[in-house]
Amino acid sequence: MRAATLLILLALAILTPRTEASERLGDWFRIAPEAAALWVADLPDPADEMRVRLRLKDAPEPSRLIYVVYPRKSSAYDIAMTTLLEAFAARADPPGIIAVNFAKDPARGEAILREATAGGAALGFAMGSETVEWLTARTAEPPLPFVTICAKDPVPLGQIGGYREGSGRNIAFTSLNLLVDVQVEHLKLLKPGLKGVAILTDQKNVSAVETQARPIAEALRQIGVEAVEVAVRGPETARADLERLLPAALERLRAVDPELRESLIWITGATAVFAEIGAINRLAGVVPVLSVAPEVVQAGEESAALSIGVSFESNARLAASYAFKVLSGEAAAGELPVGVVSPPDIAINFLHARRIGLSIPFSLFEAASAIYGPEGEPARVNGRSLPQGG
Amino acid sequence: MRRGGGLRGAAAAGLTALFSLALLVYVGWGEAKRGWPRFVEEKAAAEAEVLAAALAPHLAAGLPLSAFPGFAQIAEPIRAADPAMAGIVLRGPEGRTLFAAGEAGETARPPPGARETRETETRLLVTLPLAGRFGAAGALEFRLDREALAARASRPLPALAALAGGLALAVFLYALREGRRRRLFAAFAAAFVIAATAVTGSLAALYAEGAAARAKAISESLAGRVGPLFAYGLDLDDVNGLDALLGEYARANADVAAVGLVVGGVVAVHDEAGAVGRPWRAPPGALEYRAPLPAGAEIAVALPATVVWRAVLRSVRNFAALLIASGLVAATAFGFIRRGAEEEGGADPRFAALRPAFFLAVFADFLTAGFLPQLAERSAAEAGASGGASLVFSAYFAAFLLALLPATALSARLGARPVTLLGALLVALASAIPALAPGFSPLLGARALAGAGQGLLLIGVQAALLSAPPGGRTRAAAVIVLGFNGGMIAGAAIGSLLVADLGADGVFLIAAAAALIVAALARALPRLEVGRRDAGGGPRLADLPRAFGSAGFLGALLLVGAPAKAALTGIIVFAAPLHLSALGWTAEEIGQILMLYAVGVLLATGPAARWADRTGRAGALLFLGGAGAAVGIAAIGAPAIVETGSGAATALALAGVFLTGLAHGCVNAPVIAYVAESGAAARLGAPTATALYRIAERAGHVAGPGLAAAALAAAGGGGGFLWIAGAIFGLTCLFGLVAALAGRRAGA
Repeated sequence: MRAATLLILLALAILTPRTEASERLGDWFRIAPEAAALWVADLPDPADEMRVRLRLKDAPEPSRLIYVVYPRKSSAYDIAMTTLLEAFAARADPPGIIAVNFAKDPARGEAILREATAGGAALGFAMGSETVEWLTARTAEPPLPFVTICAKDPVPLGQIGGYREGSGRNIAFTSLNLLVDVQVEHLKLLKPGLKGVAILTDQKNVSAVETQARPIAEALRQIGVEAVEVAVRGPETARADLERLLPAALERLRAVDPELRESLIWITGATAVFAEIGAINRLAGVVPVLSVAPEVVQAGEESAALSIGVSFESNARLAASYAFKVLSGEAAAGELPVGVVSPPDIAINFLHARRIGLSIPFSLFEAASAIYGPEGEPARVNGRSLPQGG
Repeated sequence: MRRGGGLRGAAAAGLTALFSLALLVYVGWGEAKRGWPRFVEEKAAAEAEVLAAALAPHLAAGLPLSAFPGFAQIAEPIRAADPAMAGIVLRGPEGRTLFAAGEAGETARPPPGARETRETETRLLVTLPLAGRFGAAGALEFRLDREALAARASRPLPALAALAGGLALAVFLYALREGRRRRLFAAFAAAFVIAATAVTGSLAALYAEGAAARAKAISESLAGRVGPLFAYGLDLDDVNGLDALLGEYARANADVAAVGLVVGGVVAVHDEAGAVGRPWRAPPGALEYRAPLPAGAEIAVALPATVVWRAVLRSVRNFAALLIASGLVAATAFGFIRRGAEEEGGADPRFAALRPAFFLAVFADFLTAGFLPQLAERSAAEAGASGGASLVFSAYFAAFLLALLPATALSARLGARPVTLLGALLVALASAIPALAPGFSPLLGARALAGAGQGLLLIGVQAALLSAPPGGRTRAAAVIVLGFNGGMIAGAAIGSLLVADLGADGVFLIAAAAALIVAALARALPRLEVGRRDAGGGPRLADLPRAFGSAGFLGALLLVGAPAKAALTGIIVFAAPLHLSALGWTAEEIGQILMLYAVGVLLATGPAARWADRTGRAGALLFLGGAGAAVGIAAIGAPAIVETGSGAATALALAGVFLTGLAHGCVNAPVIAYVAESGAAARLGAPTATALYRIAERAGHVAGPGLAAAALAAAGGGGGFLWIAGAIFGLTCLFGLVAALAGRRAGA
């Protein structure tokens, strides 16, 4: 009897396209419970799981429609979509939203664009680098304004000429990367007398090398800081490579900073490298370990001392603010400069910082959205202090 | 020796004291109502920073304000602690209410940029915009109940009013047994000083309360930022740059004398490095507050007592101006009382009302001096007649000039009383019109009417004085000079103090009431059978060409006299208030500056006349007066084009106006002596020549505002003053040359 009831409930769950408290639809679309509590999500065509319709709960019929075009499933896109929904929920006139997966199929993408135009959509989000790549590679202008989200820096990728001007097309770009001069500025804030930096990356992760390691190395050299690039050969050999290369790099830094008191280790957003944070800390000794990836700073000892980067949430909020500007008529999509998150997302682990005697500038302490206390316990999460520092 | 001033005189003394002290309390109360909200606003701004500090990490994380947890828990204690705080609202970027403690108010889009304070009919709104990482995130809005603010500011009012009443009663009782004016005046001054001290003390107590609340809010704001450090179990070695943070606070809050982070009773961080490692010690007399932090730490903030005294100083300055103005009112009233007392001794009572009548007539006219140019400019702009403000003043003086001859003829036919009465009624009507019918055209017409009324009043008072018994003519000059300048000082001071509370309309209505009192006084004037001959023997304009044939007459008129009159109406009455207002001076400050002009005239007139009589060198005084006026006018405009500090600019403006007054005091009487010695006097007789001169020089009155407006429009604020100063100096030099040549010819 109990099994039969469960089976009926399961069948209902599968067959009913409207799932108000749902966090997940299809196998590619997922949003966090906070957003799911605010929005009603359903499949407008139960036969098409690649298309999800969202409408704010208890809100009047939306006057505008927005498309969010995914290339595939990704946890990063889930975070970005959740953030977008939270941002739109706070607006006076929340739009209706269609999230659609074009599965990296240009023909399907074109059909989605036609459908969006026919349906009177006011704006589209190009989710992820692959969608942006497809959209910018088209010869024709997008028929509706697009804002890019959760996508790599468009400047090194040649999608736009520079950071300050707009695209001149029907696309507003945002970047998941932090500007190099902002990174350097923060490193100098932490170590005003900075002399050397070891930059850790994965030579197989081309985007990390091209958009992170090389630009910051060049920028540091331009201001007279010794920059030593340490590139592992992939996840499999990462630890061994680090055991071999990092001490050698630090030895090179001793040439300009014998005590290594004015030196840092900088981890790029290469998973192969930051997965070895324990080994890096051990090899670093008293040299502070910093990262551009916010997730490298975490509770406990297996953490960098500090991260200065861009989270998916921050990029999504920036993309949402660009969308508001376009929708309100404040600016055309092609007029908006590349959206770069500033100030960066900062996370600090004081257990690590204390261990190496690193004093954190109070301005970074105030700006940090995540702080781990002297025992490595979470003290501030998402800008919110936890009770009694824990 | 006769003792006591009689019941009537004592009543008049008591009423004068009551009027002056009530005015003092009223002005002090107005100050409190204006000053207290500024303290509360600063406190609210500091409290907004407390909340902003709590929101900062949330915003730094890029989160929307709508997702901020626990706003009410933080905001409600702040709201509940202040009875005037109607509500604290957190608004989103579009102005919608996200969270509210207390009253939420209506949707209001946050202001761009910095903190904003604005007033609605019932609320004082302090709004602090909040910036997120991706632009404007929203705003904190503190909604203060204006009625509650006024109630707090009014708390000392009953006690002060009772004190004023008691002191006025004391003056009345004293006047019952003491009729000597000097002693009566001393009693009046003592009563004024006692009341002023009480009002100042209550203001100081009120402001000290506001400053202490602000110190508390500032320290809590800082505690809100530093607190998490201790709450997370971290210590001062874990971070650096706290000294810079405290220094930044001290710089941002210019009133903060010291700010420190105290741990275990010892200063760990301070905005001054020398204080670190010692026990916390606030500067002597400072208002201090300590906000506790976790782990036994504290944020200590000290505000110097000068914050309070600086705010009180403004009131003290106003009270000083009011003391002078009230003193002049009292002197006039006590003079009236004495003459009233003399009535009992058999002196002619018909002239007792002359001095207060003329004083009040000028008083009514100058009540609006501190704000009339700005009002005229605003009205003209609203009517699409930009640049027409000077017309308001030209119309006044033109009507004044045009009224003189008909008024003279009328007074010869009907006597002084009806002319004065008619003038007073016209002034009353003209004063009431702008209050009852706003707009540029009514203002223009009203000022023309006021000019005609003042012309009639002047002739009426002059005619009454001329009909006085022997010795009356000497008194006539005194009444005119003292009445005019005394009325100008008192009117400018009192009007400019009242306008902040009563508004322009209220002051216009007071001016109308003062003119009606003049009308009442006019009924006591003589009918003037004896005055007909004098009045009828006035100058004929047909004699003017013969007067112009005299180089001395023409030189005095065109090179010194008329320019001096033009400078009075064009610069002092019209352009200077506009210029100073544009530089940010308030109406009350402008009124007090105008007082300085009249004080300068009063100080210089007597000595200059005596020196001219003694030495016979009136020409030298005219040269000195012209040159002095040029320097004074240049000083008024100089700060606008020469880089000076605000203190130097203030000093220059004050010195410039005062010097111009002194200079005109050197011209007013000596120019008559000079004309009386001119060829015109030889041809027409001195009385006719000087009377013709008096009429002709009023052309300067009429031309002044238009010329000043043209100069200011052509050369800008400061430049216009310098051009006018240069022109006056040039004319003065020319006069010196003409006078020297005439002297040489006469010597030869």
